[in-house]
Amino acid sequence: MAVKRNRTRQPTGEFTLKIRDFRGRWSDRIVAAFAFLIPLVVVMPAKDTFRTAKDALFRGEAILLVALYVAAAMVRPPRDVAINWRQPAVILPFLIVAWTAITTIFSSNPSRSLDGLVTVCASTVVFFATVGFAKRRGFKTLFFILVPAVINAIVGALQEFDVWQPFQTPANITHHQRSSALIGNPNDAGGYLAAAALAALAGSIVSREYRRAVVIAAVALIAGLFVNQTLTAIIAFAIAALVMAAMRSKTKAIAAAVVGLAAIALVFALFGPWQRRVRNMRGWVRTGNYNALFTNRGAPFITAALMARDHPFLGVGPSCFAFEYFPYKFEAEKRVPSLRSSYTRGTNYGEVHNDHLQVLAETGVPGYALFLAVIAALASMSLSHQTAVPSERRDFTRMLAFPLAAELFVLTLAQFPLELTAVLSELIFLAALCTAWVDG
Amino acid sequence: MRVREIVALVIVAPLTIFGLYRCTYLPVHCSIVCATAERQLLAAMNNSDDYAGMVAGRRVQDALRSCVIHPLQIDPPLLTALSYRLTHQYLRSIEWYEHALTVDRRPEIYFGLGMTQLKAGRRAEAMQNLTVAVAFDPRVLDGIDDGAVREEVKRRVNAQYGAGWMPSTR
Repeated sequence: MAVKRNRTRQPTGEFTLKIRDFRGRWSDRIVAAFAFLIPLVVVMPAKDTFRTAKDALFRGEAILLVALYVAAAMVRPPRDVAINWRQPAVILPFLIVAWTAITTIFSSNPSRSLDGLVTVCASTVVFFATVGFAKRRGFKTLFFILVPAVINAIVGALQEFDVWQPFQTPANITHHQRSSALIGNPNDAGGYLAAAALAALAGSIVSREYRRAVVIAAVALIAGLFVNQTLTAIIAFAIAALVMAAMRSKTKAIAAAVVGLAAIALVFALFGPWQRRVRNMRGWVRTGNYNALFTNRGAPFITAALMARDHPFLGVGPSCFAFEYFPYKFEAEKRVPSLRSSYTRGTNYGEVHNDHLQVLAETGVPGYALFLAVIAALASMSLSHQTAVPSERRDFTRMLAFPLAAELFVLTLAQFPLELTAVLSELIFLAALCTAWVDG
Repeated sequence: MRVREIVALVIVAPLTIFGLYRCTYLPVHCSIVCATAERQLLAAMNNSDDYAGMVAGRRVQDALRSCVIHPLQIDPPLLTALSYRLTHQYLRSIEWYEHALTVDRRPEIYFGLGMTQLKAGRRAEAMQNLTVAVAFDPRVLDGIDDGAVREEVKRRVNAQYGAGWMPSTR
């Protein structure tokens, strides 16, 4: 923790700047290093090869950042702390922390909820540190997200085409389920790739200096997304891309939609796994098997709704859906007997697979309102600001923010990115970029 | 300024190291320990040698002693409960299964608790927990070796949840 010291007496202002400079440099290094590493780190001998390491690294990042900022404040206490509480990007994280703390106190399992509260606090710390990082740095900070995403896309593709299987999997795991990339699960990898692909697409439109590199990344990520075959992620990305196109030109958006639909039809017609999926979905619609249409997630959806019905204001508590799933599942099966024939009947769901319902069930209506407020605040960054300085960074925010909000909204309808550290840290990074660059 | 730097270092550094140890190193270390423990216990259960089972159980108990730290980690208490079953310490096993139920509620925990309670002679509690486990996941019924217990559990599930609760092939 060495601070370069001049032997002669320093004016107070210069020393303060040195502390801030030291704090800023090391904060940036920590943010950049962990943003790059979290999506890539796996621990092969661990029980959970993927998630445990990423969760641990995320918390480690937050601990290091807090230590750095506390130490800097102890060495040089700030004279005045000016916080602009009117900014949604400032007040919303604090409201989320506050509401999570309140729902933790009244949780059905406070020790579980304490873990959720720690994650929310860590997310807030990392978000603000990343905003500072992005403000100090240029457009190429985007590569700290894109490079690991491209690596994951390549690994996922190599697994899907049976070129390379770095991880041992049980014999009863299907071929497609083994295409986990370095994220842990094809569905999780799909959500992760969708957000990165959208950022790369926005960057390729906006950037002049790094256009070639970002276009290559965008192509790799979009191809990786289709090879990944996660329907929700592909739909979320497609909707977000259309929103992005419509922001530039409605005519172009319509043309893009037509081309996109044609491309999708071609993929469905030519690619075997997609053909099988379409056949299965037709069968389920014909037989009225809507639970299968929702990939057997009827039970978690209904149990989450029942939890929200019983605890509308405070929810069951952060991270407590899994704990409350067991008793509520009996009620769900009594109300909807068709759930008893689901092939995942014995599965004890840890997540709803729908973050809208999960947030509602765990933190009640106020918590869900905060979630929607975050999405709205992100989307609003695409609106032009009068004080905004035209720049590549400002254009990037304008191009990405609204589509990213739309993608997040759709993705959370059938996935749980807020519970996956790899995807959550990526979304926090992108949201922080948008926040930092909203004024150029 | 040097004094403040030293004070900051003395206060912040140990707390940071402790936080990193507790929140970063220990969860990963315990995940590795749990993976090894699970392999050892499964191998011991598949082996008919009772002595090998007891040795495996003791090893796992020692290995997992420092790993019951994370409120959401269900594996350490579950594996500890299983290890006590293998070493025929049924009361300790029951305690750990009940502790696991405060962390998470899963059919395998209720099933393991019920089977251990059967071995410990606590039949009434065992039947209750096995009924809950089978009602959640009817497939676990096949894991009950005792035919009489299996039939009794099936009868209880049908009585408590209705005739159509169990799949028709059972």
